[in-house]
Amino acid sequence: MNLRDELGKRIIFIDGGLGSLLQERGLEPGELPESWNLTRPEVLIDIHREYLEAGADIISANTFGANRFKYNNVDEIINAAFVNARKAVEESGRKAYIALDMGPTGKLLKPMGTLDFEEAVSVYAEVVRAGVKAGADIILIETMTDTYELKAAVLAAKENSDLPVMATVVFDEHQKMLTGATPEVVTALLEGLRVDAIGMNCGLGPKQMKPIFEKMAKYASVPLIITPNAGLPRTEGGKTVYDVGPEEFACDMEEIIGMGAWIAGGCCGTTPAHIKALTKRCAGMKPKPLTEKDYTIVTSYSTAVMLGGRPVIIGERINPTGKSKFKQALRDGNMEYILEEGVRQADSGAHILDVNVGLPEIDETAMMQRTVYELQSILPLPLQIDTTNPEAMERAMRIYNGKPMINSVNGKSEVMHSIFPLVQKYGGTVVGLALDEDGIPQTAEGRLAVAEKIYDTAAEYGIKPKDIVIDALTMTMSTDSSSAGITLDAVRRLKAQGRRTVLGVSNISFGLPQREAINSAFFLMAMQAGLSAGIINPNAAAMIRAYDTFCVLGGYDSQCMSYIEKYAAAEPAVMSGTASFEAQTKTAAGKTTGVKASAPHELTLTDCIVKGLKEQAYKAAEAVLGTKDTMEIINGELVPALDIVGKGFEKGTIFLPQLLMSAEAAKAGFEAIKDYVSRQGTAQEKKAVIVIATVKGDIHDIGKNIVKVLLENYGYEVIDLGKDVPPETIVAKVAETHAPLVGLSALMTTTVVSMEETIKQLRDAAPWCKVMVGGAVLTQEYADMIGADFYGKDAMQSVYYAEELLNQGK
Amino acid sequence: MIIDRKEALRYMGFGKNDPDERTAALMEECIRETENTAQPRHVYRRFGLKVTEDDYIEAAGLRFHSRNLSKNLTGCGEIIFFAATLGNGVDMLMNRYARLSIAKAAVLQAVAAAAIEAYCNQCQKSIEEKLAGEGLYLRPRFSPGYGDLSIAVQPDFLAAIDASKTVGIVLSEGGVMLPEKSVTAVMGISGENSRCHIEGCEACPKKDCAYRRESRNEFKR
Repeated sequence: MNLRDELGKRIIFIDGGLGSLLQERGLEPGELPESWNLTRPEVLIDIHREYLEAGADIISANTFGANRFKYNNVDEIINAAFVNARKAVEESGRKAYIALDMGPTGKLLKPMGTLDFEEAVSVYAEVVRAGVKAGADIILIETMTDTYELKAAVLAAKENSDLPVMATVVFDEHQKMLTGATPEVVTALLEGLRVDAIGMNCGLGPKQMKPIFEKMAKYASVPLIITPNAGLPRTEGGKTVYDVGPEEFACDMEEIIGMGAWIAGGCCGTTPAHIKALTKRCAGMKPKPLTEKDYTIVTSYSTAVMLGGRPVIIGERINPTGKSKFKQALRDGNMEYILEEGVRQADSGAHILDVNVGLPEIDETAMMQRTVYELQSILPLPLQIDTTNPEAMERAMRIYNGKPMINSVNGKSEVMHSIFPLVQKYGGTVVGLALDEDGIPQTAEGRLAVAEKIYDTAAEYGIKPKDIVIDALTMTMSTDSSSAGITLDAVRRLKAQGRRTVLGVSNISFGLPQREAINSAFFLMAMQAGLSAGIINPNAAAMIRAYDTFCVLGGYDSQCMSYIEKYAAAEPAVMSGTASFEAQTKTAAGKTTGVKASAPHELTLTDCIVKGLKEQAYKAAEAVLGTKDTMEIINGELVPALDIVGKGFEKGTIFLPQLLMSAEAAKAGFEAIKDYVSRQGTAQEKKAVIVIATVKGDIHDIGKNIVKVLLENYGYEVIDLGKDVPPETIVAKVAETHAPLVGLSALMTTTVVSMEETIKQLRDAAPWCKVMVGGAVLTQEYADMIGADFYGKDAMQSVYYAEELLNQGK
Repeated sequence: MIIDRKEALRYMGFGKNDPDERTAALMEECIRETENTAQPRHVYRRFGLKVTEDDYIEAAGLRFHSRNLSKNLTGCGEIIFFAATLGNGVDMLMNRYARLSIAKAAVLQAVAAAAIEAYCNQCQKSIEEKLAGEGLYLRPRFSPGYGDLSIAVQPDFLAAIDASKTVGIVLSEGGVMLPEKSVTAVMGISGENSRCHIEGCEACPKKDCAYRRESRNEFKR
């Protein structure tokens, strides 16, 4: 008997709350519920039997929190859970499925928390293997509040069993998960991961779930499962109570089953009486037939972008092709440069970001993985993973928190058979280039034929047409004047077939002057032809203007509100593509660089730094670089400027934000010097190495980051080990670099302990090294107590200490 | 949720000084982004309370020691366990600027701290209004880790209100709350409307704190 065969033939009922029933029978607060599998098996057998007698077809084994973070005998606990459940099934005389129940690990995943994604997968994998061994019929992943942990659990289930997988998440009354995901995001993610049944549980009662369920039903082409609480929780005399009784519950559920739920049951506050009322009322209902939904959805952890309606902008700037600075950033592992490209495009209006970090001389797989991880840590935009390296593609798809766009496959059989299996496993919407072994077809018909081949091959992997976006191929106009016509014709015909399309727009103007004029016009024509998404440079004013005007004229900008908001206060458009977009429009989102201030150009470098003008500082430094020696600039302008600001900060006439704006301006000045020096081919001398870290257990690192920027301003080579850093890592780095100074930060009394431990280990392994400490809870007394050499009450103090210690000869 | 600019400036270290034009503009930008990004959530539960003579507080099956809190709870028969958070979107925002602009990161940090305070005040007010209907009064918020109330109570405290499931607050191994801009607090419930003696910043023993409020009349609570 397999659930997959029964789904859709009749309504399947699953049991109700377990935790609340255990509490009623004496489970103490803080006591681990799964421990009762061994100590109070009769209670579990009883409850399971009651649910079976109430009509449940699926019972959940008592394994919700059975993982290695809570138990050191996971296998035993899980096995006992199934022994009890099976006993109950036997006693009831009914046929039923027993589900391996998996809830959250209780830890938050990186980057927001400290649990590594692959470690989360391995924690769940252990549970799955134990469940399979114990005889599970189904894997039920439930009460998930974070899409990333959800993905880890699903991968673990799929990689360690062939069992049907059901997954449900918790939404709140704002129709979002705690980490921000909407029903669209959850649906796309779980469908992409090929989960057998998806849905929601806990958090809300059936009434509050109805509108959320409706949304999921609108987008989902897979069976839906719903297990609400018995209403919203309320406390009474210190106890949590739920107000929705069995009859009312069943009545609400009848409506939801009518809307398309195939599997129904209850969560917190529901009892065997609720399930009995539910089965009694709804057992005769026919499951609403599933229909194939035609929505193309790409998501981040929180945001869904839909292709097929209003055109979508895919930002093309994270790509080294033709950009020497970007290439250098990749070689240096300069992630900030790449992140800045991402944020700038997001601020300019991109909906999705293309990510291409391929360079022959670097490890593309590692770089792609790191870039995707870092981008998704700072931006809520979905990503398009752009690589021809299948290994890089797989790593990126695996750690991606959402359903990504995949760039790309084409009609070549080898490419499709290497990429489609990844899409089948991890989910994704795939760009299919309309070319194959025979090259690029010269006609629209030819490109459509390749597209058909791509759809057909995708179908072999269960990838539906909605998850394919055909790139109709933009060919250079200057070499063939029919190029645009063919491309647009292909877009139009694909659109007529109900397909999704994408174009890399800029290629059209290759070799022509004033490229943006051509690009923006072509972009407009393509959108008019029905283009779903354009891969463009969103920082180019002309491109965004073409897009914004198309949205107005195409009826995608309701009452022209977005247009008015953006352009009403702006100066008239300038046709030149080089005009700064920011200068002409006010963007809704804030800019990364903070406040812009206009300043006359004659400001000296010192002025720029003191006033904290980042962009002007770079220019001012550039201006003097030809005329003065670099050391003269550093010692004659940069350092004195920093000293002015530092003294002002000491005296309380300059405050932290101003100090930091100046630090950023100084950084920009150094940047100009660095660029100049590297053009000259000489190396710049660095002062001593200083290792800094936020200690293990602590994840607040702004103070440490401030110290880093200031120390760098003063010319030190700062090795920043990040946050939550174990003592061993710090010691190893100090030993390796023979750094004379270490800076440690801790914010909590609870983490000062690891600071003390780090210092102790440093004394043993690196006796030459001085240790300075800082952070909210620290005081001079505390610092003395844990054996630090220096306590800095603010960031400037650490600079003064470093200068005193390491730069006496100045 | 109205973010108190004065409070944000205090967190930036301005004390009673006015901000310069550029800081003020940066602060407004950060306030806008925080308001757009925050997903504020809170949860609270009401428990019976017993305070022993030797300053043990007993509620929700927990027992912990604090002289400061026991004083704060004098005359209270019940207690509220409260937790609130701005959600992890704000953490992401802070991560973003920590990487790209340290000045903005510092300002955002202060703005977000003021935002969670404002949100807590707003929640507290609505709880107060509810209790007023029963003729009951609420004591000021008192957070674990504050005064002599050990932060070690945090795990049990969060478990008692199911904070990880209801509002998404979890603890790191080091005992740090995640999302970063989160607050836990207890509030006593009493039949008598007695204002507590001192509260907030001024009651804290860390007298050399750069962010210490200068005078308690300076800011209205």
